[in-house]
Parts: sequence; structure tokens; C-alpha cells
Amino acid sequence: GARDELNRFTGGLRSASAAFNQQVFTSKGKLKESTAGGLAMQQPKLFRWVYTKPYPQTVVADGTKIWVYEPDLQQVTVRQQGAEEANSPLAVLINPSRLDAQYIVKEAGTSGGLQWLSLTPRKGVDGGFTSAKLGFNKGLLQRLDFTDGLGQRTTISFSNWKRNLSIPASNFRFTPPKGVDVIGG
Amino acid sequence: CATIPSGPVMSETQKQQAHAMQQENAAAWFAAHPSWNMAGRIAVSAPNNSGSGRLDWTNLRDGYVAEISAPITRQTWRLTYTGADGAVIEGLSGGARRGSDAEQLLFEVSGWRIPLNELRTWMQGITPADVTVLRDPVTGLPQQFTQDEWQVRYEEWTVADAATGVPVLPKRITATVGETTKVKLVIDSWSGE
Repeated sequence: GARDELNRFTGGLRSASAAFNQQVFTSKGKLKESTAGGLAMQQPKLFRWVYTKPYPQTVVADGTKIWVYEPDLQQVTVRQQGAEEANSPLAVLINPSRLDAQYIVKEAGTSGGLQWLSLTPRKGVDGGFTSAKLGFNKGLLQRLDFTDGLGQRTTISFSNWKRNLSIPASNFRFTPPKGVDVIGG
Repeated sequence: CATIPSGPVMSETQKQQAHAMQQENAAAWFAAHPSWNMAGRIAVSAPNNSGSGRLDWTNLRDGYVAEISAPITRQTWRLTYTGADGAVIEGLSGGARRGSDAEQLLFEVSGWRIPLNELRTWMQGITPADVTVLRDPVTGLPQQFTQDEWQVRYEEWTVADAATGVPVLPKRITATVGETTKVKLVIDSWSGE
């Protein structure tokens, strides 16, 4: 079932990269935003999330800090790497071993050619999400859907997965370019 | 720093006329579209707190709805302000929170100090009547003015769209108080309903 798919996906996963498309729908189902880009991650807590369309934005977690760089706003915001990421459904990518500790994980059947797991946050885990679903196929995470406190639904579809590739350490470091405001942290 | 004009410079009267026309066209469009919507990105920086996110702003007859979404997870707060019954922020893990003043409520919840009421008129491109407005030497469009200690700068404007009837509207705004408090807004789209 989907659980086996999850284990295949997270088993022995030291690093990975993929392309993604992300869509956000309002609680009334209207498409509010459509973005795309690429991600890279490396155990234990390093990740890089780069939006390329419709506008550039780079998010780097270097293990202690999260850097959010918005070229159009000429601003870099820095904060301590903390709960938000670890508690959000992205945890399945960032530290899969903690998934069961934070979520009640249940089989949610097959549809759309994917095998699904449902995630319900455990008491006290606050990732700002009421529910999330992981869709797998061939041992790879193909879809991540989650619904937030406003009933807003986000779907992220992944493609072009590469597992346990060697990723230059510089990918998980961030040096602010000259001339931008660096704020916080 | 004075930017080097990128074209023939307007006379003072021409600039006044261009500014007046822009104000008129903007005011007419907003009057004809009372539930206008703007989607963009906002960055806030202050001595002790900062952040950036998507801003989705919908005007109401007697207020507005401002949705601020965080990067990646798009965790969203929805701030609804209707003059009569004050403000409410939804989407927080602890449940909705109410207050009489929208700015104060947003500050208490996020630590962000955003002059929401002024921002509403700044984003519309409506310049206050009682302040001197520096105008772009080439286009005559508003470039900078000061309001309640905020120095507001229009760095970019959209081009009027004959097909949709959307007039010249702001695209990039920076507002600062002194050196350390800054609000930057990049507007990605305007829509009339």
C-alpha cells in the first residue's frame, strides 16, 4: 500500500532533488496562485526551495537558519530554522523519520494512479494545517496536498526525482547579494 | 539620488495635468469596481521584526480583506476589516482573533507594523491632496510624497490597458520611516471584481 511506498521513498534517503509545480486554491476552489520551480534536500535539515515562475524566490535552510530571498523586493529575510518547516507537511521531505511522531498517518486508498496516505497533525503539533495527503507511485512522492486553517488548499506535484545524488554544500548555504536589504536573524 | 530622465522632460504644467489625469482615471476605475482586487508581494522590515509574503487584497464596500501568505507553505492569515465591527484575523492556529484596530491586531499577531489604511490608498495610486507630491520629470506621474512620517515612493507604474480598461496603476511602492522601518510592495496583478 501507500505505506510501503512511503518507506521505499524515505528508506535510506540521504539527499534528493526534484522539480515541482504548486497550485493554491481558495476555500471556494478558485485557483489563486500557480508557481513552479525546483527543490533539493539533504539530511538532516538542509533544503533549498527555488521558485522560478511566475517570479523568482529562493528559500534556503542551512541547518540553523532559513533564508528567504525575494529579488523583486530586493530583500532577504532570515530567521532561525524552527517549527514551521518541521511541523509542516514538508517534513516528509525534510526529516521523514519524524513523520509518525508528528502526524497520524493512514492509508487513503488509490486514485489518479497514485497510492495515498492521509496525515492528520497529532495534538500539539502546529504546522497550521488541518489535513494533508501524500500521493505515491513507483516508490516516489508524486503529490503533496494540504489544507490550511482557512480551508485554502495547496497541491504540489513533483517530477524528475533524483535520489541520493551528491549536492554541492554551497546549495545549502546562502550569501545575500550586494545591495539588498538583509533583515532579521 | 535624482534619476536621469529617460526622455523629454515635461513642463511644470504638463506634469500637473498628467498627475491630475492619472488621479482621475484611477479614482473613476476604483469607483466603478468597488470590490477591486490586487495580488502582489509585500516585504516588511522593522528593527525587531520582518518578513515577506504574498499579499492578496480585496476591497469591500466598508473595508477590505487582506490575505498574507508565507513562502512555500503558503500558510495564510486573513485580516478582514469592516469599519463598523473592527477587524478579525483568521487562519491562526489558536483560532480567530478580533480587535477594533486592524493595524494593532496585525502587529500583535505578527509583529509586523503595516500602515494598512494608508497602504490602501497608496496602492490605488491616490495621492493625498494636502501634501506636495514630487512628480516624475518625464511622465508627470507621482514619484514621492510624505504622509504621517512615511516617505512613500512610487518606483514603477503599470501601463494603461485599453482592452480591460484598467488605467495606469502602481506596480512598485516603497514606504519608509527613517532608516529602519520599510514596507515594500510589488503588485503582480489588478482585477476589477
